Amino acid sequence: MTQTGGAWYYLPTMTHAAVEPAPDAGLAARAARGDVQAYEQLVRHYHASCLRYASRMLRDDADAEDAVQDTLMRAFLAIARYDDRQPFRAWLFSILVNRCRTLALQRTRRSRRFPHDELALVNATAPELPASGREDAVRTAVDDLEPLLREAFLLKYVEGMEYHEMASALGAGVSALKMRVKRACDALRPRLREIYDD
Amino acid sequence: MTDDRDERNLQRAAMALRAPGARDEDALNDVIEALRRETADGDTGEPVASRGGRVERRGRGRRRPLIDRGTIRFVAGLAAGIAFAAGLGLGLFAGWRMRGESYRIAAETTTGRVGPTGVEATSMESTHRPVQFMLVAPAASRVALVGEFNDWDPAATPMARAPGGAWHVALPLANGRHVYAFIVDGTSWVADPQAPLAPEGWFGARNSVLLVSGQNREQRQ
Amino acid sequence: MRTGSTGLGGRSSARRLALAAAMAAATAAPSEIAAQDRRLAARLDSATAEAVTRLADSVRAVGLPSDPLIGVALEGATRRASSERILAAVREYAAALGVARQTLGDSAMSDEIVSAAGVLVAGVAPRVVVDYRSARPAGALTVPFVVLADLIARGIPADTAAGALGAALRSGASDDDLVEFRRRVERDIAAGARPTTAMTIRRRDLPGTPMEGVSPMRPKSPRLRRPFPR
Repeated sequence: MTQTGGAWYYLPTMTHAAVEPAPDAGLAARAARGDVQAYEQLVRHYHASCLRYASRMLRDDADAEDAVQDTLMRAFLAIARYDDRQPFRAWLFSILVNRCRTLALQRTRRSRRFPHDELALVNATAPELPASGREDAVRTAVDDLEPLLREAFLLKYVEGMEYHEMASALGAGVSALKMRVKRACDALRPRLREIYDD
Repeated sequence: MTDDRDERNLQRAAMALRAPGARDEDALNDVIEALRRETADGDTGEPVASRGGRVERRGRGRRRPLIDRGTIRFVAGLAAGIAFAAGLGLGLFAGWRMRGESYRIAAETTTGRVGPTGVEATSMESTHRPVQFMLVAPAASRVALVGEFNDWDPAATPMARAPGGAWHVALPLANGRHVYAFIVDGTSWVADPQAPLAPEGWFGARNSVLLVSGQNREQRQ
Repeated sequence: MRTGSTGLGGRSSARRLALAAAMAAATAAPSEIAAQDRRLAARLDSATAEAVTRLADSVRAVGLPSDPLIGVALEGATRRASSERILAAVREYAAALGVARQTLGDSAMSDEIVSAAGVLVAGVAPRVVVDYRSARPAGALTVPFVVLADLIARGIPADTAAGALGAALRSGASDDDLVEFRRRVERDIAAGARPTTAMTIRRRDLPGTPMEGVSPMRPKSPRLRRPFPR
């Protein structure tokens, strides 16, 4: 991100997953012919953005990792069906979106990390710097969005997708998506004011 | 302006949400390892079917089933080059040949020839391509085409009668699967005799299925 | 660092659907609901229109195509079917769409899901959908299911038709092969042949043996040198 005179500017090209149909299409075509290295490059390119989307949709890091791994493997199996007239990211995310939706409905209740849980203790001592209070608060605010609104918000603002791309990924029309993004922003506005009130 | 401030807050929030997590690199490595493991030469370890549910998932290189318990796995023996186009049906129900009963041909406006199997799509531009429907019903006084594409409205798509009793109409349809039927004289629900039948029989007489293809990477012959 | 939190529960499909319906009701924008209502409300009584709309919303909330459900309701309206019959059809279809997607996998395309739902409605076991997916993991299954549904609609028992097509798929039958096969069977039936007989005879034109349990040759796999583990 850049910071100029106190204002923060949104630069979608600085996100992890920029959209460039040409290189992706080439890699996807090679992957469809069995070139695992080519697919690996796609994985490396999109993994982070898939993971952050899944983390917010499933609200659990471990489930998110599983969902993303599943998605990337399924996408590899289905790569022959990818049509490069659609941006690769939209196609990949359409699988991820469905995977998250399926998992959110299917999975059994996962316990929060009770203090007695050894794994939780192990994790607690892992060298993970806690994020600033603001980042946590932002995540909580987004997690509180209703799922359909959250999906649209994440793809628009965090992943920087265009509406036509979102339409393929989410299986909804552009005007419905615009409405959902607007409602998400409306819901977030008061929370973000609290968080960022300088 | 408060609007600017709100928009900036949204952008800051988006930026915060893009912050990488501590486990990201490990998670990525897990995926790469899994990919390499699944595509390596030689037997790649115990069959997934014999695993129980999830296994320990912390740490590097964790082994986990490819697909969870409770979902259906797909066998990955990737089949020989079935191009994407094949999945969209190639628009070819050979039932669309001329037989004297009914047939369907590509309307003249498609760019491409009419093959022996009827509709094919060599036009790559538009998402909708005109499809001609025809039903030979010399004794009918009116015939309507109904289907998902016109909300099953009998008034939406009346057909025109050609000499000899061939009723016809051309309609632009999007790629994909369409279900339709003909209503003869406002009373008889008639499927297309030469098209595949739709399986659902909830309301009595069955409908017909049409697959309109999106592209023609492989020219059929 | 991301923090985790409790996931959603849901064990039975009824609860899943209720949850999905609640999600949909909570998040569907008013204009989306109204738009559906208008098409249905014009042709159905309000209770039925509302019920169908809710079902369509809950199906859409889980990423399944909802247009086919609206289509079925409108078809029923045109055909002057009773509200009970329309609702029963829409419910059955919605359930079939869910099973279809589950058996086909998350990367399934809309047309595949709809045509698979069709065969499920026709009485084919979900196992068949899974088998077809295994037989053709990377190619779309829209055409095989359309062909299967047609054969069943013409009087061939579901198991027989499903088995015959399954064996053909495992032996690498293409969509063209299946389309041509269907055409020949349909022509034979129209000429007076019994459906099962017609199918048995024409089945010989397809790759693979008609016998169950015989392991046909694996389709060519130029992409991977080794198959994935089963």
